[in-house]
Parts: sequence; structure tokens; C-alpha cells
Amino acid sequence: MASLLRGRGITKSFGGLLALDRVDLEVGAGEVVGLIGQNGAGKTTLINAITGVHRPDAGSITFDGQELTRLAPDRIARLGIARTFQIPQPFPTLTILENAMVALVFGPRASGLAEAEARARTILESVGLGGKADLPPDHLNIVELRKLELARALASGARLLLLDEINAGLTAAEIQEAIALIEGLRRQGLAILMVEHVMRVILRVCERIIVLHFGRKIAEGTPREIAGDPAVITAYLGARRAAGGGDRAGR
Amino acid sequence: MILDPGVLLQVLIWGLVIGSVYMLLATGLTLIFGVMKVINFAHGELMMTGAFLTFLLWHALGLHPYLGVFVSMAGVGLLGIAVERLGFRPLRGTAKINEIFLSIALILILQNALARAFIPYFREYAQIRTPYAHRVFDLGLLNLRYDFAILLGLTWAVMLGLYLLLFRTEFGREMRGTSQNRLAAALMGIDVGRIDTASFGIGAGLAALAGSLYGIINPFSPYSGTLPAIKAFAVIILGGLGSIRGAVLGGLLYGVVEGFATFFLGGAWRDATAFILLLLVLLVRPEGIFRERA
Amino acid sequence: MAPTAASRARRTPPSLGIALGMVAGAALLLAVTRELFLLQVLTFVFIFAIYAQSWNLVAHSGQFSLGHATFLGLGGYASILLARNLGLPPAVSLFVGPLLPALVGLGIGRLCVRLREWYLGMVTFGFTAITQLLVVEQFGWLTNRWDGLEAPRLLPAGLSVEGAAVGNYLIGLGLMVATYLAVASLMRSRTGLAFATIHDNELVAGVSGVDVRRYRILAMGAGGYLAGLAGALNGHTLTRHISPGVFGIEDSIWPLLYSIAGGLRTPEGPILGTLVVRLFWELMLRRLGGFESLITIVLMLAVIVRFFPQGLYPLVLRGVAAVGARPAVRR
Repeated sequence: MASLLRGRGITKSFGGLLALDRVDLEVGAGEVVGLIGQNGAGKTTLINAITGVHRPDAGSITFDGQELTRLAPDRIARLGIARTFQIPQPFPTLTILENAMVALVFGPRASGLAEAEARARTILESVGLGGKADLPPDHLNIVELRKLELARALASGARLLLLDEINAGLTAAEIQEAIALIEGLRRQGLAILMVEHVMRVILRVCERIIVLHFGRKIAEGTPREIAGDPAVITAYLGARRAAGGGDRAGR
Repeated sequence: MILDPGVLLQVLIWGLVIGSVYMLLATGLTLIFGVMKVINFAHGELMMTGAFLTFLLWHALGLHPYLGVFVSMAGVGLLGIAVERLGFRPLRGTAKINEIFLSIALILILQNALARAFIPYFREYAQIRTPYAHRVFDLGLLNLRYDFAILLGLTWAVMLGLYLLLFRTEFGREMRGTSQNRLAAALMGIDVGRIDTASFGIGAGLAALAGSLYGIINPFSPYSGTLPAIKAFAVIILGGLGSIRGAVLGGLLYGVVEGFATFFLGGAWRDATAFILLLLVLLVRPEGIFRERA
Repeated sequence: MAPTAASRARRTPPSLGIALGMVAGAALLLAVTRELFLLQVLTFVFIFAIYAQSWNLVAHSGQFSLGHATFLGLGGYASILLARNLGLPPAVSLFVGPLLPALVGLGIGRLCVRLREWYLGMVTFGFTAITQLLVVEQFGWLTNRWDGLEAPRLLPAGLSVEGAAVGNYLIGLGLMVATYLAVASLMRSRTGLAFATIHDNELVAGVSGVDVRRYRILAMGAGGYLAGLAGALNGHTLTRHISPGVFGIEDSIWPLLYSIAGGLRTPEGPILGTLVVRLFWELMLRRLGGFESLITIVLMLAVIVRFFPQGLYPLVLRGVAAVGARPAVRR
């Protein structure tokens, strides 16, 4: 599979803290890759590095062959990379509709306002927010805010989605919905890199999983390989299991 | 003549005196910003309130200016406390523009209140005259004005007091903690509201000292605070918002640079120095020279 | 943040109706009275509504400028110098002159592109002082230093006093309405949407594809032009003179007060705010001195900020709705 996103030796430190230590990664076109690790492992930092929010100290990140590390966030977005935020960040003084329009107008599609409005309405309908399109986002609860985040990322027309914990705090049924959604996106040919704590989702939808531990990549492989990797079990799954029952859904 | 060490020393002293004004303003501003994340745009007006109080105590009641300074500091400190309690506190947590509005509106309120109060006394400018206005220490190389020596001593005594308060007392520890992380401080049981009040009061008191100092060495009007305040803004941007060390060093350095710029380049450049420095820093290092205390 | 003034502005149907209403109201007044003082006050309102509109447009992009007098003054100086020294007709220099503050705005926007909130406020605040300094000291040979310059009049000489007052009134009205229409359609456009996202969250705007740098600089440039236009218009009509006093703090604060009073980030707010505050000011001056009036005005605004954080415009809309007319801004 041709690789769409390719990172080599991505390194980023904040003061004395090494948040990313020579991380390599690859996401192929139409591939769903999971990114797991404990809190502070560097997952969100990696997403920030890819999207241009933080410039890496060293290493290279290319998207479709183009180097990203010197580009501003908006250039990267227009190349076709969209992201969600772990804590949903809607534009508070825009309506929900306008929130969804932004990525259409300024993202890779560069739609006109009228076209963007029509498309945004359709997308909001599809995630179940159609009825609230003309309200400001403070009318949404946390689950709906996550949906809005997702709608924004979907609306952009990006080829690569970076999803930062979109399932945190969802009920089992909602997680099921999210899984169906992600599988649908994959069928449409979108590449996805997802940070996720819900192991059931990761093991179910990801073709490949990357494990970060204190800024370093300690394992990479299929869900089956990862679930059986002793280093991962010690560093991550083990900790979870010890913490409370574990999640064996992937077996 | 220009390179006469005595003259250079004289310029240096003058720079340190005017630098003390900037240092006091900048320290107050940065203290308030550190704790409250608010810039008091009316700091120059608090400063002139201080100058005016000292002046009034001396002119109307005959109080010695170097005693009046302390009364003035206390008075303006109380005013600062009132501004925090009645103004900034109710706005905390609302839109940022409300705080900016208040900060800027205070300029108009204080300037016009001062101007109103000033009019019966003067037409335009006033100056505080100390009994030592014409006396100098003859130190061989240079003549040091009594007033300069007293003002420098007074400033440093107050700064030492502030240092002891911040770094040697429990209250100072709480204040620094709040400045570093307000939420964490509140969670640890620190009464951050009380810290806000105290920082605004102290900042205002320092501004009053700066104003009195200014009023002893320069004629002043209700509008004289603007330019020193803008220079203090430049200093705290250079020094890093929230950094006391940056404000102290930056303020003094700024005064000295201004002194020499005036001496070598002429008066037109006196006020331009701040902005040229500021522009350079904005271009090269927008986050300031010292980092905000981590 | 509750009802979204900014996005409402974006969804407002063409503001032509409101513009026609303003023209009709102003014309009606002219038919009823030619009272000189009133015309002058309203001309002032028209000119400073353009100025407030400029501030408000920049604020719409999330940049609270505290040095807007820089643009106001530079526009006035540029236009007056073009007319005096190069012999341009004021009707032309009025529009060419503001290109100078527009350029300065682009420069300030570029320089401050990474600064926000208090930082931006402090730096823009300082710019007014440095501009004054440059105008007086470094360009004193051109600007006649503190004494300032006489401004050629915009209207042909030989008009009666009343004719001139009416002329200025109509020119002010026309330019204010034109500015209003331009800003309203800009706010509804793609550019307006970009401004609003930057106002709300620069980081998210960036990763959504909005070129934050470009739009922020653009907002400052556009704001510079409009403020400069107001400055030039003021110089050629009302004051007929310009001096470095124009680069004062007060003139930087007024547009902020007008916009807050009327309603931030709506194209109607600055006009309403300028009108209300200014009329109030004139009424106050009949009873109190200037210092007291100013303090009272600021306290009145504090009350507005406290109890009507969206400004007076939503109240007007509600009033209109209550009277039974369909509110003009809802679809």
C-alpha cells in the first residue's frame, strides 16, 4: 500500500521533557491506524506535530510526498489533513451550521459559501445534528459536541483524518455507532490515524496499531500482534489489566 | 568632553533614577498580570494619582514629600484594592473584552477626575519641591543630587521589602503559587481572591511611589502618566509578562538606555527608544527576553 | 457566550433595508430642521460611526486595537498633505490619503500577528505614541509640528454656512452608509467567516484551513483604511485643521466605547453606539463640565457592559419586534 503519511524520526521536546523521541510512522491511503499509549505517552503531541500546531525539533513528516514540518497549520489542512480535538473546540460565536461550514470553505475543497452551507446541512443531518444547525454550539452536550467535531473533520474533504479520542465517555451503543461510522469512512477510501483508549474500538477497526510509551514507539503491528506483545502488555495493556479487569475483546 | 567619565557617570545616575520609575511601574504591572492575567492600562493614571496625592499633601498640608510618599502609596494602594474588588472581580470569567473595556475606561475616569481636581490649583503643570531641591553631594567625579540619592534609596528599600514579602513569607509563597498556576493554587486552598486584591493593591502602591518620584524630578499633569506607562508596557513585554526579574532588570536597563540615548542622540530620541527596542524584540523574539515564570 | 451577534451578522439578509432606513431618517430630519448645531453633531456622529465601524471590523477578527487613533490621525494628515502640497482636490485625497494608514495597518498587523489580547493591546496602545512622536519630531518639517496644518475644505468655497453644514451632513451620511454596506457584506462573506473563526479560536481556525496570518493582517489593513477615511473626512469638513493631538489616547478609546455600547461585531452596533453615546454626551455637556460628562459617560457604559453585554442593538431589535414589525435581522 502506498504510504500517504510518512514520519521519520519525529522528535519534540518541551523544556526538559522529551515528548516525542525519534518516532517513525506510516499511514497508507485508505488505512486505519491506531495510536495507543498511556496518558502523556505523546499521542496528542504527535497529532499536533503532524497538523503543524507544534513544529518538531527534528525529523520529517511528509504527506503525499510533501514535507509538512515547515508548513503552517492552515497549509497542512488545505493539503487534506483534518483533525478532531480531544476536548471538543467549537467556535462559540458561530452557529453549529457555520462551525461545520468552516472546514468546507477553507479546507481542501474550498467550497463557496452557498455550496458549503448545503453540504454542511447534509453532513449535520447524517450525524444527527440537523435539527440544531442554526443554534450556537453551547446548546450541545458533550456527545453532540464530539459529533460536531467529527462532522467538521468529515466536511473538510480531507484524505487523512486524525481522530483524537472521539469515543471517550460514550455509551456502548454510541461506540457501536462510531465503529460503524469509521468503517464506512474507510470504505470511502479515507486514511485514519486514531488515538483511542477504548481497546474494543482499536482492535476492531484498526489494521495496524502503533504503541507509544514516554514519547517512544515501543511496538507496531496488527491488533493480534500488539495484543500479544510482551513489551506492550507490560507498558500499557498490563497496566490497564492490573488497574481493572482488562479488555480482552480482541481475542 | 563627551567621554568624560564624570559626565557618563552623571548620565548613568540619571538613567537609574528614571529607570526606577519604569521599574516600579513594570513590577506592579507584571505582578498584577502574573496573578490576575489582566493588564492594568490605567497604571500610568494610578501613578499620576500618587504624584498628585504627594503633591497635595505637601502643597496644601505642608507634609514633607518624603513622608507624604508613604501616605500616597497607602492611599493609591487602597484605590487599587477598590478597583480590583468593585471592577475586575465582577468581570472575572466573562468575555475578555469586558476586562479590556474596564482597564481602558479607568484611564478616562482617573485622568478626568484628576484633571477636575487639579484645575482649582494649577493651570497645567505642577512639581513637587523637596527641601533639598538644590543640594548636591560633591563626590569628586560627579555631583549627586540629594533627591536622587534619597529616591534611589527609597526605591530600593521598597523593592527589598517587596522581595522579602514575596520570597520570605507564607503570603508571598501563595502569591507566587497563584501566579504560576491559579487553578492549582485555588485547589490547594489558597484564597486567590485575596491574592488578587493584594497584588492590585501592591501594584497600585508601587505606581504611587513611581509617580511621586516622577513628580519630584519632573513637572507633571494628569496626562503625564501615559508615556511612562507605555514604556513600562515595553519593559514587561521585553522582560516577559509575569516575570518580576524581567521587570526589575528591564526597567533599570531601559532607564539607562534612555538616558544615554537622550545624551548622545538628543531629546527627540528619548521617547523613541522604547518603541525601537520594542519593535526589535517583537520582530526577533515576540515572547520576550525572559520567559514567563514557568 | 450566548446569542451569536457575529454569526447573526453573517446570516443577515442584505442590509439594504437598514441602509435605506438610515438614509430616509436622516433625510426626514433635514426636511424638518436646519438647526446648525444639530447638523454638526450628526455629521460628527456619521464620521465617527465610520471610525467605530473600522474598530469593530478589526475586533471581528479577534484583534482588539487600542491604538486606532494612529490610523485616524495618519488618514487625516495624509489626505491634508496631499491636498495642500500636491494640489489634489480634497474629494480625491480623501480616498487616496487613507492608503497610508492602510499600509501602516498591514505593517502593524504583520508585526503583531502572533500577539493577542493584552499583548496586542499594549503594543497597539504604544503605536499611537510613537506615531505622534514621528509626526512631530522626525516629520516635523512636513507637518508643522505641534501647530498642525490647516485643511482645505472638501466643499467648494462660497457656500452659505447653512449650505456647507447641509453639504457636510450629506457627505458624512453617504460615506457612513456606504461603509456600513461594505462592512456588512464583508462580514457575511468568506472573509467575514474567517475573521469570526479567528476571533473564536485561532488554533482551531488554523487547523481548519483558515490562513490566520493573512486574514489578521488583512483586517488591520482594512481597519486602517476606514479609520483613515474617517480622519480625513473629519479634517476636511468639521475641524478644518489637524494637529498631533489627534494621536491621543482618548481618540483610541472612543471607537471601543461606541462599539461596545451599540453591539460588538455587528455592522449596526457601531452606528447605534456612536449615535446614542454622542447625543448623550451633548446633553450632558449642557449640565456638566467636560470632565464630569466624560466620567458619567464611562460609568454609563460600564452599566451597559454589566447588564447588556450584547450592547443596545439587540434591545432595539426586541423593541422593533415588540411593536409588531418583523425584526429586520431574522430570516
